[in-house]
Amino acid sequence: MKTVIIGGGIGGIYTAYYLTKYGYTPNNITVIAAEWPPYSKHRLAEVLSEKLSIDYTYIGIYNLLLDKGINVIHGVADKIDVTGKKVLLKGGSEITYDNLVIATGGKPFIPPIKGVELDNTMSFYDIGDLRKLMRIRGPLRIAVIGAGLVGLTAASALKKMGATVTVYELMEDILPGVIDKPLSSKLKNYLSGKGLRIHTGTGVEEIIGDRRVKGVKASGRIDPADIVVFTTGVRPNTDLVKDTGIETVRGAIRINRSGATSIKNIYATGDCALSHDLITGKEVYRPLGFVAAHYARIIARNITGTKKETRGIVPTIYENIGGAHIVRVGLSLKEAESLGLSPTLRCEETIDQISCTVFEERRPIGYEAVGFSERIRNKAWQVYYDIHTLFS
Amino acid sequence: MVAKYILDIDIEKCNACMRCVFACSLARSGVIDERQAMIKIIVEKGIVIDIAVCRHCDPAPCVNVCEFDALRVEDGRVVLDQSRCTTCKACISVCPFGAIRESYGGELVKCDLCGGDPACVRVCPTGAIKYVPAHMVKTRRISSVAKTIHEYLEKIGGR
Ligand SMILES: Cc1cc2nc3c(=O)[nH]c(=O)nc-3n(C[C@H](O)[C@H](O)[C@H](O)COP(=O)(O)OP(=O)(O)OC[C@H]3O[C@@H](n4cnc5c(N)ncnc54)[C@H](O)[C@@H]3O)c2cc1C
Repeated sequence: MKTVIIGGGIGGIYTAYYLTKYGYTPNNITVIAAEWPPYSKHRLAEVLSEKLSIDYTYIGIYNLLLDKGINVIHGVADKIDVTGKKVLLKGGSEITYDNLVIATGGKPFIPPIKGVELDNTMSFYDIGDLRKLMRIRGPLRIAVIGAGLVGLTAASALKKMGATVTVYELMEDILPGVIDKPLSSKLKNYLSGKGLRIHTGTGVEEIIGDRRVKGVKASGRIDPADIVVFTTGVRPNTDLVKDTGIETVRGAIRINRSGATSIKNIYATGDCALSHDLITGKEVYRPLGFVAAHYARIIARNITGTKKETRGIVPTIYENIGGAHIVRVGLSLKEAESLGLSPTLRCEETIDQISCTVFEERRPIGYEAVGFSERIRNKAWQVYYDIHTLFS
Repeated sequence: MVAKYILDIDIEKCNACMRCVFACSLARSGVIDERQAMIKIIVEKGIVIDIAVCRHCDPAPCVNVCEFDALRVEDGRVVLDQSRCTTCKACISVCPFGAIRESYGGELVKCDLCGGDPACVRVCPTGAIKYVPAHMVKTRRISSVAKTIHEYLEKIGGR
């Protein structure tokens, strides 16, 4: 039995890792990887701001997997032939499979506005982006568009490097998908106080320049900028499954609770696929590393013969942005509403922390905190266990 | 079975001399550098408000939450395998003690009890950090959080 994995990111590498852990013969695993060695996007901002070597981003287990004898093809999968059970690679070669795991990740979403094609516009998504930003010298003005987790971590890393950074966010609040208003307004004040310029409720209308970026037009005003970084979200990277019959929902591969797609012996995990929310049982698109690894393990279990279904994911997010600690476990008020619940929020505030618990019919379904001291202490762990006890 | 030993922390006795932090960093990385230390003294307005260090919970929320197989309980200690960690930071979100921290390049660090002879304990001049059998920590003074987490985890039995 041969398993072919397309993509050498988190989903792909951890599928290979768990397969070997559960006894699958390493030599029967082939990873087709456009990028190699495998790295963690979770470390891009730190490596950038601390001016470290790219080696710091590499995921340590790849050496172990190579030693065990898994096969790696450094190349790009071009087509999946589901009837012939084979993958065709760019350059003409092909490889057959018994089980196929699609872990092609995502691609950064760039909004369709004028000027996005100018030089010096970029995303903050992969090692190529990191390399570009590492070459920056001098006191530059950088516009970061999108104040999600990636945007704000990138912005504070770039600021630490000495750039003047302005963040633009279309929504009324920063971290719109992560935390709710009482917390995000406190965080915004804190970050503004630290010298990060943040414009919320501000849609960028156009990138100004000829060939190179000169400025950003937003709310009718033009701010000068030398570089524009788009951190406006991730979309599934699934061109490869077009015309294969593999079912997708708004571009993301639909998987069942065993990680299997609509076609037998084909699985998918990570930013290319949907996942399940534990609390509501609904299908969601959550492009997060631990989601990719969760389904990697489930898939490896099923391929190695243990029937296993996930109960779904309870998001567990932490990020340090400019010295503030952001914690989110379970659902936020906004995400719960978007999943059809009617939640309420109860918040507590101390001198150095604001925290809120999200309730649905008196049951805790989420917790979020923003802390401003060096201490990271809160009740997230309790809500995490409450959710598992109440909903599993 | 060998008795499980863990750190017993008494912040009242801590005078923030930093010896434990420096000794920890030296033991771990051979240099004195706060960011490489797995223990952190948190001082606010001149008062020690916390000594953030792993209490080696069992079952442990960080171990339950890790999807990367990077954290596990081994001989009563919670250990982090760097080679498997991708810095997704889910463990930080659920740690009751704020005991897992980011070091250089986003590498996560946490106390591993120096394999059984904690450097911080050796250098602590006031007895704020002691290395004692786990059952003694439970019956004696214990931080209120540590007590609740233990009761809590017993009640629900982890994941
Ligand atoms: C800056 C940043 C910070 C983040 N921080 C966190 C965090 O702190 N915690 C967290 O949980 N998540 C975080 N995430 C999200 C996390 O990185 C992703 O969810 C995770 O990488 C998804 O894993 P994946 O395997 O699906 O995709 P990826 O890791 O993107 O890997 C997909 C791989 O497949 C390759 N590939 C694509 N198509 C082909 C093909 N046709 N043939 C061969 N190879 C192909 C790609 O080149 C890529 O290497 C962050 C993301 C970013 C951008």
